[in-house]
Amino acid sequence: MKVALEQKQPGATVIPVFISSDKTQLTLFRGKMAYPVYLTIGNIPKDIRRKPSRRGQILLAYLPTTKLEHIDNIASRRRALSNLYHACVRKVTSPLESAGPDGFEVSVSNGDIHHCHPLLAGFVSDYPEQLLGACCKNGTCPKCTVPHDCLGDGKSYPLRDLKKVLAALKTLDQGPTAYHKNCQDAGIKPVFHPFWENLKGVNIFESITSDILHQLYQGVVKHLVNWIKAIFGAAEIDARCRRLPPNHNLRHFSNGITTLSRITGQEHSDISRIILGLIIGMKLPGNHSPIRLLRATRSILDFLYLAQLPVHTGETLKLLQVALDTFHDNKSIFVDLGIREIFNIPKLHSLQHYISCIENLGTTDNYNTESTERLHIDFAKDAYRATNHKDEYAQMTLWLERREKVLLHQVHINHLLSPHPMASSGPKNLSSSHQSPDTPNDTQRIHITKTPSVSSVSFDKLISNYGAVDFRQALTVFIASYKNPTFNRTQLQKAAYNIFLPFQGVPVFHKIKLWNDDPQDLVDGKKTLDAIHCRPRMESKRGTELPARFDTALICVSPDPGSGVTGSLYFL
Amino acid sequence: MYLSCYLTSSSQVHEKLGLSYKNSKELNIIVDKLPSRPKFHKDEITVSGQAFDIYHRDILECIQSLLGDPEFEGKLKFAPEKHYSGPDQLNRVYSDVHTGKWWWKVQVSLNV
Repeated sequence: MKVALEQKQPGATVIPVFISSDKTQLTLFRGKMAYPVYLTIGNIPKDIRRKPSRRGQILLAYLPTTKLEHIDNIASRRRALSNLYHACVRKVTSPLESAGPDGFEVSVSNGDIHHCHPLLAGFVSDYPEQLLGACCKNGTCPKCTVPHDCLGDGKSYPLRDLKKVLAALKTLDQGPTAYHKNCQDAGIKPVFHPFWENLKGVNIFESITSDILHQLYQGVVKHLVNWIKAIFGAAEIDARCRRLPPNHNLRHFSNGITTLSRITGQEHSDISRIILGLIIGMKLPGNHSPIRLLRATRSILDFLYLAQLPVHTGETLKLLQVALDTFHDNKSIFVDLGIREIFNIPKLHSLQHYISCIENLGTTDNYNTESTERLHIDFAKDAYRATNHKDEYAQMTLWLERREKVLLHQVHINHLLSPHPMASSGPKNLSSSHQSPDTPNDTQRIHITKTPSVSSVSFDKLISNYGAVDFRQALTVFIASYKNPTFNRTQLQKAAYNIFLPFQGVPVFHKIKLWNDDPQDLVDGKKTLDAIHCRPRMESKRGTELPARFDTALICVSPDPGSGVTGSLYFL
Repeated sequence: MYLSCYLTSSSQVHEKLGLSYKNSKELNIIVDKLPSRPKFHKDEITVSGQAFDIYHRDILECIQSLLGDPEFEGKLKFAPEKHYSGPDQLNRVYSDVHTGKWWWKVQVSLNV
């Protein structure tokens, strides 16, 4: 009956299920761990899903965090651990085995009833968890059949054959020896019933998603920084870091980048902003031409930033491939310099899968592990702190349930208090919603303090402390041009000569802030902030000396488009 | 200071403030009555002769509660879409999950 109905009136709703699991540290010193599993669905738009406050992700389970120390044999302990993981995840995901192909009725928020088919779309995790989930051996790719010694060759290999793997898993009854052999032939570990074995229509090898944080920032960028460090030496790199002028959007590494330990994703992101600038113009040892090194570095950075675009087209995906190919064409410089012999790095190989992953499941911000790392704070760390640290999971789950109830109730009350959306449709409300005072139409806003930083600075001081040598002349020319906009330059000079300034000093502002809107408005109205500093050397309240800071700013004063500065690119 | 002394000495605080609970225990009882996301269950998983506790929720109830959340009303996507950058339909645009190829492929296989 249902099948016939489906055929006449296709109305199946696909629910793309995203599962992410990641171990996290709960305490700083005692090594207490939690193993939360999160669930989200692709039906929710990504800008809601990535905000923890909108609660688009739900805590699905806490897995046991045991290390099975009572098993002495390391190999059998490892096997038991992966069996335990799969037994637990299978327990959690087993309702999908029947609900996926058959579907189940769900009433959604607007009251409609959908016939939903929840199917595992993405398995979001870092490399060790990906291997655990896909039952793959360490040092292999969890997605494709690339041989271990070809991980760095930059070629594409076919995906793992799910049919072959499932056939091997079916031979469990033939005894452990035959099972082990069949699994080995299929290229997987002999795990007792992996959780995806009975999930119909799910290809776990396809579901494993790419991951900007662990594969790029904590993977390839990390390697690149280490290679560059090995080429030029820590002292030179650090010295160059220190000499970089301060800038609002650059982190100033005053102790250099080579002394950092346990570098976070954010720090790698700050490093990748400056790394190309650090190495430009440096001579390579052994009189090698630096062009291949610059190209390789540049292509990694290109790949890094292109991969994070919130919207991709066929063209930008091509650029992504070009960046990857450029790196593989130029990576030989690291071999020639004796930094690396081979590039068998699984994370380097994982870049091959970005394009297919974006084509299949949307851009990488749909499934990055950064947002789940943030969830750990709410769902694991805060929950743990609310307990008395004994038999904590029972207390944590109760605490979470209560917290979610209160938050849900809050949403409900806000919903009741807010005016009904139907009632607010009127010409008055429409106009007010279009032009609210918070969102000015102009794309750029300038912020500057109400009172000047220094109320009066004499023209002499402007020259000696601020280096503004021609300020008085520039000011008179400005006044003249303001009074007579039609004058040419010679006329202006003449008019300026006759202007008398009835004051000896001017108020000075030391900082100005500029907000630049995202011109395409893709990242939910995100604005980039820029600050320009202009401050002479001064003493702080505690008597320490603050060095002078004068930023260089290129400002487009002409209103017509196309004017401004033209740049040219050298040797890249 | 005076207020806190007054509050602690008086046992009728909740009445004077018009609260419906006397202490945190009673507040928790009220909170427990509110509708919620799915409950956690405790289960035991036995692997190599040892039992381990796992706390989990029913995955279908979780999906139901996400789909039924009033906060996402009108924002959910239920069908795959193909986006193009131009009218010639040559250059596909990928952003959210529903614009990808996976959903389209699965939808077709379900409807056949």
